[in-house]
Amino acid sequence: MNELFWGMSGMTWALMGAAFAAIGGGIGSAIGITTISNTASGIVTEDSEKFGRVLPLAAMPGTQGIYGLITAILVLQFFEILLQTTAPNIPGELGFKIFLSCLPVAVLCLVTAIYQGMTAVGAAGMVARRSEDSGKALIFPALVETYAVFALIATILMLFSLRGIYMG
Amino acid sequence: MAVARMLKVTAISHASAAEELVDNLRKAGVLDIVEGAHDLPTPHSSAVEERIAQLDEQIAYAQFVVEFLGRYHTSDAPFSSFISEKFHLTEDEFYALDTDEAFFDLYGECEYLSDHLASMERQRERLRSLISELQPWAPLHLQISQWRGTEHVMLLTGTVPASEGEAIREHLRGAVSEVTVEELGAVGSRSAWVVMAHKEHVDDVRAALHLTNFTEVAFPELSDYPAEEISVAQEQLKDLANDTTRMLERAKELSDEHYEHCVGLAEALVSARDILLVRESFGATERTIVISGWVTADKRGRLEAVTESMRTVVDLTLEQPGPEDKPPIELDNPAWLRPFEVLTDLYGRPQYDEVDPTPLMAGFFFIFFGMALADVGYGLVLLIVAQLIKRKLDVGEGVKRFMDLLTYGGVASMLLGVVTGSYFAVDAKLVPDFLLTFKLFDPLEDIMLFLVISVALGVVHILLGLMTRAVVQIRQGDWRGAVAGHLSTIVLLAAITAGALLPGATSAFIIGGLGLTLLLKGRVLEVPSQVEAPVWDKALGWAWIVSVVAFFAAAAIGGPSVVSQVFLVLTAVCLFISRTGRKAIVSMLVGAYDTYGMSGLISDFLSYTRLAALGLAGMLVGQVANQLGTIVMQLLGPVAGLVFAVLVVVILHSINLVINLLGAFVHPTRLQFVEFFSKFYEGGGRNYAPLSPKTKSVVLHPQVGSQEGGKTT
Amino acid sequence: MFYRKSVTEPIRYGYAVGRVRVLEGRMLSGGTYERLLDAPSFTEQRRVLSDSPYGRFLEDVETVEDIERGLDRALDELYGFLVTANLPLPVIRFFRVRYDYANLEARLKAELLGAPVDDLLVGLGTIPVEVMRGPAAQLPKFVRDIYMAFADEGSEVSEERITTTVDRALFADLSESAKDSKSRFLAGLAALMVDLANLKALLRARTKNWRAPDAAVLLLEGGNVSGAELMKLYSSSVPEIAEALAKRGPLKGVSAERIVDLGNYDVLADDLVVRYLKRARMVAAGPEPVIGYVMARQAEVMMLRMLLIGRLSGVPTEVLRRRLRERYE
Repeated sequence: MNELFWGMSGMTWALMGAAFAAIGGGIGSAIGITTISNTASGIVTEDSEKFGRVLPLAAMPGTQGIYGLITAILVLQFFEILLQTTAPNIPGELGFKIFLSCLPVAVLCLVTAIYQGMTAVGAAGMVARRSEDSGKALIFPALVETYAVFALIATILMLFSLRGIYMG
Repeated sequence: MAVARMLKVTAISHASAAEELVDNLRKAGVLDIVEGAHDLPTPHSSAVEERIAQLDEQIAYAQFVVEFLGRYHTSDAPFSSFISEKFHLTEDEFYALDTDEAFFDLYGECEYLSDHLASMERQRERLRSLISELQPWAPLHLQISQWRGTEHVMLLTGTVPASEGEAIREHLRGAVSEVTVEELGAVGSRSAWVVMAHKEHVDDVRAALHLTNFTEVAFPELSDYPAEEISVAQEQLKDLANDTTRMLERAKELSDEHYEHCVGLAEALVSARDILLVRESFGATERTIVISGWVTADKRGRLEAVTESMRTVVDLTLEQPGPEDKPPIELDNPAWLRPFEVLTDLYGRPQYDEVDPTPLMAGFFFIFFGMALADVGYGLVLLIVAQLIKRKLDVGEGVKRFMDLLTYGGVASMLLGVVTGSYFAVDAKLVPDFLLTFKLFDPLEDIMLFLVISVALGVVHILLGLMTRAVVQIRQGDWRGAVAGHLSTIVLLAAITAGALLPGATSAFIIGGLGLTLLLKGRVLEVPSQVEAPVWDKALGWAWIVSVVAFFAAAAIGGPSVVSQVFLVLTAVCLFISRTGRKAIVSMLVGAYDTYGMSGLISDFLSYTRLAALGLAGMLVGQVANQLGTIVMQLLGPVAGLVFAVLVVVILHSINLVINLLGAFVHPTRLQFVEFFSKFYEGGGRNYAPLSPKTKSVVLHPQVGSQEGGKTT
Repeated sequence: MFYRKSVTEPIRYGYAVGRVRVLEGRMLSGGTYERLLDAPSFTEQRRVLSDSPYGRFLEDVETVEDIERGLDRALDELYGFLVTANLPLPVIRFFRVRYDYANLEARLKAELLGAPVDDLLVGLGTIPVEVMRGPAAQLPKFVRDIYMAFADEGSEVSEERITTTVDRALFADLSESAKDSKSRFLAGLAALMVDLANLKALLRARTKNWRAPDAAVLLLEGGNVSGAELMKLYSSSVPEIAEALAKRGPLKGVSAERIVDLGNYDVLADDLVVRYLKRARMVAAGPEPVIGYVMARQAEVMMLRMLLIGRLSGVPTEVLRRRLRERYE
């Protein structure tokens, strides 16, 4: 079996996929949370009683970062990299496939977190206007998150299958 | 079902008894008063309007005092910065609150303090800037009153940008020969100058300076030496500081003494005004007033009890709502279901003739929540924290109800945690065996199984939604609509399921089910009876329908090809000569389109995979927390390691719990609202809001032993 | 472009948007305006406003001058909000710079007539009143240039020339600030304001039967419809022009009778600006809601000024009602 794929070892490809997922989710969450947090702090400046009601909104785009982290952990765990003392045996081709499997999370978590942040800004406007609507306001950003969840499922299924095929 | 029955109330009262009646209604707290149920003008009473205006004014006073004293008030309740403070009063105490002499004295004092504190702040500001302006002139041994100059010499005091000093001096010398400039030091980026010139040259000097960045500085209100003036100002500042401290102490004193009373007073006044304002929804005739509203059927006794004593002047009618009426909505569920009403309220209560979705979704929400946060440890923490908040903290009714919902969530998480063998996400090898007795599967190992369970639950959930709609339609007598609508959908789903389960008969079930669904959804069987056409025309239509059925039957179980030929020929014939046939064909196509619309269900089903993803996410991050704890322990050795490891693990698990809690609440809720409710539920009912004091931070308690009793239902 | 619109702007304006969402809820409602109209006296009006954010600016207010001062303080606070909300400088400038030009105009006219300038200046601009009143050499460049141009001319200066020149400079400055702010919404607003000013000038000149070249001088550049385009209409009669304007451009959809009614043209113009601003409400994040809010508050102060001063000086309720603008809600 070819150890290298397009000049990189399987482990490099796998780590690159894990890294991309963690980075994409992290960047997306950071931007999304910054966006909504700015608005949330503006709302709290004027009306400090709204703090508890806008806080969940501000936390929402954070999940994508977690999905990125989970993907990274799954790669490390499934392909026996995590907490090992010897280099794992990952052929170049498998590494590349792992990399591809990470892409849904890497890209979609980045994008959905940013958009979720913006949706949350609109939802926060609802809360600012009428406190009673704070429950409803949570639902709209959650609709955006669906696609991050689906990306995570796609990635998990792909990694799971790859482990089944290659690692037995 | 669980939408409480309402009775329409019309109370006609003699105008003179209006006040007593309103007072009694408020005490009863069960009548939801509505506006515009009659064409009568609103009662007009200048006495009431005057009282409202008076209350407006007093409310403004009271709110000012509350706001002012609130600045100096510190709450000693736990977590007071997160929970708005509550004040407990009995009903009698609350209604007895009114503005009195002492309150107006208090208002006067607060206003005095507020004004003086503000004006002292302004003075302090002024003195500080005066001192900083005077500072550069401090070395000047010339009384400010002498700054204008002497008989022959003119003085000009001012500042120039330090960087331009040399250039301005040059410029000045060029313009006027006899001029002296004394520089006194810098104020920030500017230097202070005293320009001396002979009286004769004053205008030239001024003109020359006018073109530069020289800014004249003068202190017209001061006269002494600058240094003296500075110390005077500093003295004044010190006095001000003392005065301020004294006033702040007094404000704090007042706040400690009166704040609570004033909060209650402000709300009592607002509630007194509300009681008066509610009259605007009454109707009036010459001698009487008419009040319309709603009461829940089980509380009619309370309403009748309070009007009983006024029987001679009040006429009370209670009747069932008519089809035109839009009664307000009160949900009526057993106590154990009531926490789930939070979700129904979040979406909006049902219409009066609609089903209350609370009992339908409660079980699913419970399971979904448990799946999204499947861990015994997390569930236990959630349960304990929710109950602690509910019992130990002074929180409002709504929060308490929500905490009960979270308690249910905690229980669900624990149950599902037992099933998946997850205890704070600790590695299965380290968990004692007896805890794993009921472990059915490991989500991490059997991801597919977890996903399939999620989707299967989704299918059941959505089927329940479809069936609810069908049942409602049938109950309303629209069984044809039910068949063409969701029942046929269920038929197709059943056929597909049967086909999938019986490998031998897959195509038979699917094709047969599809044909049946097309027929039902298109309401094809109803066509011949609806079309006005000659008998032969109708017969052709029936023949076509039979041929369709035969066609699908043949395709499903394998029949002679002549069937499909007959079908095609009949179709062509009908298209040309039979009106009934044409209509039937169009209906069939409509049915096909509706069936195609069902593909949306597939995405609905897949949407439930989020439950598995959320469950996995929480579990994996929990595992990482544990692993990091292990690493810390290995790195730091047994003693320090243990301390830090515990710290790391506790913090990470807490964060993970909070984030997953958000997901575990929001996503199951979304599944209810978007996937489930869209099948049968409309909502948009108005909440039942009986006339009673609307308090914010005051919590009213019924008088001990009083007749009005508590809210017993 | 995409990155700025979807990432930078929501972040940069996010804080301001949050505050605006709360503050919007504290704006005066239609009911309050009704109560102000119905209130029989100024004291009663003051009571109506006592709970509103204007309450504290109107405490102890008795005279017309007091009202002016109180409302100016309210506006000053609003502009203070712009600074504390971390809005970019060009946006703040867009709102405040008009007062600099108004002050400049006041000073030029006062000097022309030899009157004292002090009482005429408003402290709401970007330039402090002391500087505005101080030596010409220290004025910021954008006003100094205009000031110097008039100073050089000497005898030919007329009040009307001052007004047109300053107006022209103001609108050019507004367009420039809008462009600097990189906000398309603000630029659209500036263009709309130029359009509305142009149309007013055009209709006025036509009503007075000015010669076409004299009218053309009045038209400003920077609008959606160019001056040359507008001058093509000039040969028609006023009703015909109104008909033509009602069909396209910024006045599209307004009835011709309303356009011809020049006495109430300002009401119409403000309504159109509000209609433009209402689009901002549909935007969740970005500069639009903030700009919409500030404009709406400006309009609110203007309406209050009219209602309060009108009541104090005994203007009939019906006249006041007619002057009420559409609200941003």
